[in-house]
Amino acid sequence: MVVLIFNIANAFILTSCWNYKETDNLTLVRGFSVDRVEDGNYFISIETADMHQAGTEGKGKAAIIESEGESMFDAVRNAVLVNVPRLYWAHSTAVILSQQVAQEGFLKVLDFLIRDAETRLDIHPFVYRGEYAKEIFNTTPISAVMVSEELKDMLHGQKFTSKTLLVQIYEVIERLEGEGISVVMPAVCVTEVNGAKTIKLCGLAIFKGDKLVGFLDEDETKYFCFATDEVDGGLLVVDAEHEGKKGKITLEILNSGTRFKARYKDDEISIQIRIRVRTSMNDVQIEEFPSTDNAINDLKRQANEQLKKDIENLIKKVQEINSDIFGFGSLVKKQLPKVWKEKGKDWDNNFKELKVEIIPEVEIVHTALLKDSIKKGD
Amino acid sequence: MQKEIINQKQAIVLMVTFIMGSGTIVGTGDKSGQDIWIALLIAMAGASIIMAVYARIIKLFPGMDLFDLLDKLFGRILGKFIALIFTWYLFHVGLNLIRNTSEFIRIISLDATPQCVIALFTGVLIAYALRCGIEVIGRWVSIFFPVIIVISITLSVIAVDMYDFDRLKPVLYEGLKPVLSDAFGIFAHPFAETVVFLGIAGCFQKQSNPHKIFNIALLIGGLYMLMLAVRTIALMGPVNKSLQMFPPYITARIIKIGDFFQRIELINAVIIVTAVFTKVTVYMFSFAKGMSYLLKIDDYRTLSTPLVFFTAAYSIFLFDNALFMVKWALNVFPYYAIPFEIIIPLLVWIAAEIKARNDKKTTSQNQSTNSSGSNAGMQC
Repeated sequence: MVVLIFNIANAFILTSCWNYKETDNLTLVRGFSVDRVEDGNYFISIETADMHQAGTEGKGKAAIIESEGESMFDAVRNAVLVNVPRLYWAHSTAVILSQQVAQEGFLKVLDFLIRDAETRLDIHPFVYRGEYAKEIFNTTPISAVMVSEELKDMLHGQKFTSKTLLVQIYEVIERLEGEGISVVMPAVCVTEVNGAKTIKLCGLAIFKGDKLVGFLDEDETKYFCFATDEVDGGLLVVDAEHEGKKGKITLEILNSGTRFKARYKDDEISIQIRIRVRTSMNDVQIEEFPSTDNAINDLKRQANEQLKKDIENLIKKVQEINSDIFGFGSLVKKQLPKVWKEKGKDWDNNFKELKVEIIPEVEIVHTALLKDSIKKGD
Repeated sequence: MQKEIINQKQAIVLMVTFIMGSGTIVGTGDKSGQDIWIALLIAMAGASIIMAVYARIIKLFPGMDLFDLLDKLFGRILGKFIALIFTWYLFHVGLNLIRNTSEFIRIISLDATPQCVIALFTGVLIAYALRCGIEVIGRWVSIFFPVIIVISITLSVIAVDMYDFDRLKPVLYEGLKPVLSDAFGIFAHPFAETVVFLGIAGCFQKQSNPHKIFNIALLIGGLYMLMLAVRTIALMGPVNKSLQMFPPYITARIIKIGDFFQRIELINAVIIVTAVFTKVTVYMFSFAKGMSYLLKIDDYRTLSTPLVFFTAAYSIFLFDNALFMVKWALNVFPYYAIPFEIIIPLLVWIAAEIKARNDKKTTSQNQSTNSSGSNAGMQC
């Protein structure tokens, strides 16, 4: 009986929440940017969902909080000085690093995010291509209410363009600690659309260790995605030539699969990448381009050559930067563990001279709704 | 005194939940990286051998638990001495488990709650379960077990899109040594921890087959651990697994389907707390029995409540910090457990075989006075 009363009382009085937080007293963080200011402090600009003004209409509003501190956590806690309700971090989706922070090493910033119990490992990191990352929150997102939300949605739209890469924090850790693979993060910049400033995803940021060493533009990012089997869709614009007529033919990627094979012969590692792309011909800008087998096969050949050349150029560029963002090293480790034991120690040099053979196989599955090209009959 | 009995199915379910127990908190070893599945399989193979010994002991003297048996096999003084050592093991691991749970809860959510409060209320729950007796625990577990299994499998299946089994490569890159080291760790914790069931073997139904109980429990529990380990690696990679304090929990944090189905780690936390609660209860049950045997008290219930509270209170002082706790669980415990999980059971087994042979001889000599095993099952 005593136990019974005790238990019932227990359930009501002690709800096991010592530090109970009312949801309407929380400020939900959706995203934040990190800058380094002159005295070495971190300056963070936090985009929060304003719960007080949400009301019944259900239209959220963003509020920006700015704060400064000696360390990341310090800066985060200092936000309480400008904003009474404590920030709640579990719903943050994006962290935008300024170029300077990225160049000095992102680990100092991200350690807090990874360690803290409230934040999650599925946050998307970005690098801002511009001066101050806080500028990003001065823009107006076009479809979403908040910049961070828009950023996340744009990342998920990757499957239509393959011109950016969906990266989450836990993948960053994996790449950072993993052997023979380097970190990439999507880059973001500010652009002007119809007179209003808005955000734009502009390629990838390349890291060596945790330090920023370079950027890839959007098209290079697409070829990067081809070389790492991350392509889910997007377009291939081919500079085609048919019977002397030049023009662009755009192929829509239906799906794509990449197979990797690492080889070791005569003390030399080589990697073979076989890319199979299924496409449909969707946009023809050559006059009277016929749908004959010959013409299509010719187009395929041209697409293959172009894709091959573009990816090779990209690999050459990255080899000059000397950061193995493709994960060729880890590929060698997985496929040829014995070779990696020997060559892995000096991967920086080996990566530079790595031979990569690319075999694209573009297939044209259909030509959309038209059987033939539209002809001009005068 | 009324004898409590759990049937074979309940015993299996209890043991499987026991095996799931703390492995779901701190995860399995962190040395072998992507080869953890090999380590698990080796550990399972090793555990099947030692579990055969445990089962054999129970089979030889059905209806008796370890403490009665020690008395019978080694006499009063030596028997009491071994019982004392074994009871210490039960107490110490019970302490660890309560600490694990409270530390886990403290780190993941209730960061401002004093740890003693969490430990205390875990204690209240366990004390209540012990008062109700093993039958109630058995029934409770058979209700919750399907829930745990369904949730875990659902979690693993919905994440299938996010798996990258390439992360399991390369196989045996660092050689067999770290794998064996982890296998040994997993063997000791949780598989061979089932030695605790010797302490409550008196409650098994006499007609149940202990070999079957141990083998099925090992198989299901082992497969569950395998699923968990492979899920963690395929999702986050070995690097994240060895970095995180509570890998299975973090895995559940990442799992999501679109924007709709996400942030489901709380379900996982429920599983963890349930499984660990079952495990601690079994430990405490055995511990209470051991103490009542040592102090010559008929009913273990008399002692159970103070013992549980003592354990819960003491758990707060056990480790300085969580880091040490996890290191202890993964690196020290396997060696620490050898005497309790291997040496004592082996001793008991050998003595039991000899005793059983002798008893058989005496029974065949004077068949009218069947003395052996007559007092078996008197206490539980």
